[in-house]
Amino acid sequence: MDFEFTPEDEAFRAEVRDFVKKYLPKKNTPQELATWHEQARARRYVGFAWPKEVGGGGGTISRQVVLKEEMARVKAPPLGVCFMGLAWVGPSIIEYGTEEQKRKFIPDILDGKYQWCTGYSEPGSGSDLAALKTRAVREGDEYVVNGQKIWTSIAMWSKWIILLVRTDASESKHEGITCVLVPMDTPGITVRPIKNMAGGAMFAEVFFDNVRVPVANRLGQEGQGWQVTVSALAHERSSIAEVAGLQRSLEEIRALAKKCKKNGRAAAQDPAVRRRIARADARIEAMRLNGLRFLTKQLKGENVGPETSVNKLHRATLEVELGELALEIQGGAGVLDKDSAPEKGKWQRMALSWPEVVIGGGTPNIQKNIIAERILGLPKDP
Amino acid sequence: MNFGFTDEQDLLRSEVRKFLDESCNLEQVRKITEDASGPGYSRELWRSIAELGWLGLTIPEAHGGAGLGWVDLVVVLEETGRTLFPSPLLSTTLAAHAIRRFGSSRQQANWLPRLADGTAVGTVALLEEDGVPGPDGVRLAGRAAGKSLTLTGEKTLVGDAAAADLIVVAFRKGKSKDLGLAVIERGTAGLSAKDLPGIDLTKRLGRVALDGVKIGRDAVLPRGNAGAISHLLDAGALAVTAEAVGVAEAALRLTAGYAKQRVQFGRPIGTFQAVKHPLAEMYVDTQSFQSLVYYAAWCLDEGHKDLPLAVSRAKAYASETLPKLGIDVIQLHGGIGYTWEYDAHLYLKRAKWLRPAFGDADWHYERVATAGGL
Repeated sequence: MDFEFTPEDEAFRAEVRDFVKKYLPKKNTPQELATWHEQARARRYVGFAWPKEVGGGGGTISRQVVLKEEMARVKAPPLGVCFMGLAWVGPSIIEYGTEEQKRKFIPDILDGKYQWCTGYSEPGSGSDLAALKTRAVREGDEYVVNGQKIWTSIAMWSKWIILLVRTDASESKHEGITCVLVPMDTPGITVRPIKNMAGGAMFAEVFFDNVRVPVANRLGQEGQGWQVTVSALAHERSSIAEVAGLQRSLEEIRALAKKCKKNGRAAAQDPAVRRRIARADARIEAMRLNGLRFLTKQLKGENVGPETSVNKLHRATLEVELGELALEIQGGAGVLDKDSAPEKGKWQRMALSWPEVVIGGGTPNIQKNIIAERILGLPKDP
Repeated sequence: MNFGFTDEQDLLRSEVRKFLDESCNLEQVRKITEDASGPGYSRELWRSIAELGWLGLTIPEAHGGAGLGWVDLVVVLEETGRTLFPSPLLSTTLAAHAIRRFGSSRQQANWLPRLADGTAVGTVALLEEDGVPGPDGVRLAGRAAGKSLTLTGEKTLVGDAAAADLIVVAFRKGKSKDLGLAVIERGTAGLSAKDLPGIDLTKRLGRVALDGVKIGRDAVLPRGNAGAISHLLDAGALAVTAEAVGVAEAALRLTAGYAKQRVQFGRPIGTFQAVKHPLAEMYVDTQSFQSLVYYAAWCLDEGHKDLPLAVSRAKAYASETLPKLGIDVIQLHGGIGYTWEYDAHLYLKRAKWLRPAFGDADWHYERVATAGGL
């Protein structure tokens, strides 16, 4: 065991620190943020894991980790602004796209020219994603799409959508699915925002009524959509960003516990509160170390697959638990909101927004099925 | 960046595993431990593991050991946990660790070779009746008279008390805060040690009474202060948690295997999510406290300042989750899990043994809370 990085990777860390020192926004003004993104882009820190040929940074796994560590350390703004484009649309296009598609989309994603949204879930296919029903029927050089997507984050602000459609209803569930890239201003697309329980509207329903999509906008082969979706989600597995976020929340909760009174004494003196904070601390540290074990496997060239569900489950539990804990620490004031609540209702918002990360990308129960079936070898539910 | 084992460590693991599977399967574990009049371990296997070098693993080569570290030791302990191997290996290793770390070179030369080759069984006696693990709980009185020291008091929940030839005892000098560690040999006048009946037959625990035991200065470890006692607590907690990883893995494997075979309602019960999900949770917890154990062992080897915090996170996590895992294992088996004949209860009992050993979840979580500035 050895937790050191090579001198070359440490030299890269020094470069990153230099960049941070010069350009990390101090007051988050639009000008500062613009400079930050421009400079990050110039250094190819945006899309750092992507191949150099397409304009990415060609960063090795260990340098990706160094970069993430440094960003987490200073609580930096994200590298790049096209969130879903950078997270999975770009990687899908790089792996399955035609040369023309790569030329058309990748530079814009890196430059953050516009947003992408993701049309996977449907009213009848959430956890069972492969049961999706939105139909695409080929007519000459076009597909005609009819159906509905739901839980589509930022659909109302996106210029393009990466869409899973069923091109062959006779094939078994996974085989009849195809992936297409569709401009959101195509006639026949209607977006209806959904208000979430925190009162915000980040996601939407998207309706498709005889929407015509050129066959040239298909990503991968017909019937290859499931594969396109799954393989694009494989990336560096160290959970560094997630762990850093949770560590930060816990740090703030410790401060909150010292400030708030609960049942007549500082919440930080309450043995139950102390134990819950320590319990979360141990689990966040376990996530960090689990992540380093996955990373070690990746550095040795081994595949890291279903075991990452371990950290996804921890994260889901912790996101819920930390929001609950913060409200309990506030005692009676935990029921207040906005300006009348401690810290202007920041924790009330956290306690009402966890579904975004806990349910998106596979519910905890689905993660448990993955572990039970793919790691422990238990039989599938028929 | 490498949070994994070396080829040598992987080889060590496969050798330990092979030996235990061939020489001490659960049937033999039962034979050895269910004999109430026996010592609770096999002297023949004790000699074998001494020859294989397990007893001297972390003892320097100059004193007859292999000179390896705690990361290597964790590899062995995971395997002895997996097979519930009954032996004073863990206690002896802790005694050797105390003598090596806090003893003079003469003391090391005197005792370590005997512990490395298995001619002496060792243990550490820290805990007393009030149950506070660590320096604050040490009351056993050490009264100085000239060049000798007289020890009076009682230690409880001492691992392998009856088997031990060398006992490392924590004491307090008079009423002061000055704490010490002394090595008492079996047969010393005023010393008595006996095992007590316990839930887990694969682990022997006992009481050590010192009634005016007179020892010379050469029996007192020169660096054996309060910090040393704290460190021994950390080392002990780390060692039992490393074993707990193996225990959890074995219990999980047994139960997952059963869930694949047992048919009810016309299908293997492992198809039901009510069975799958607790098994998945066991996997998550086992993997997680395993990672915490590995990091703590690395901290010990590197002399890293995070050691107490790393140990407490690991031990608290394991002390909290292993007993639940033990209960789930029984429930998922149904009636068969309740029988003496089936092995599931052996893991349940080890889980209960682990819970308070070298500090329970409450104690270790409190230490984590304090370390976090609360």
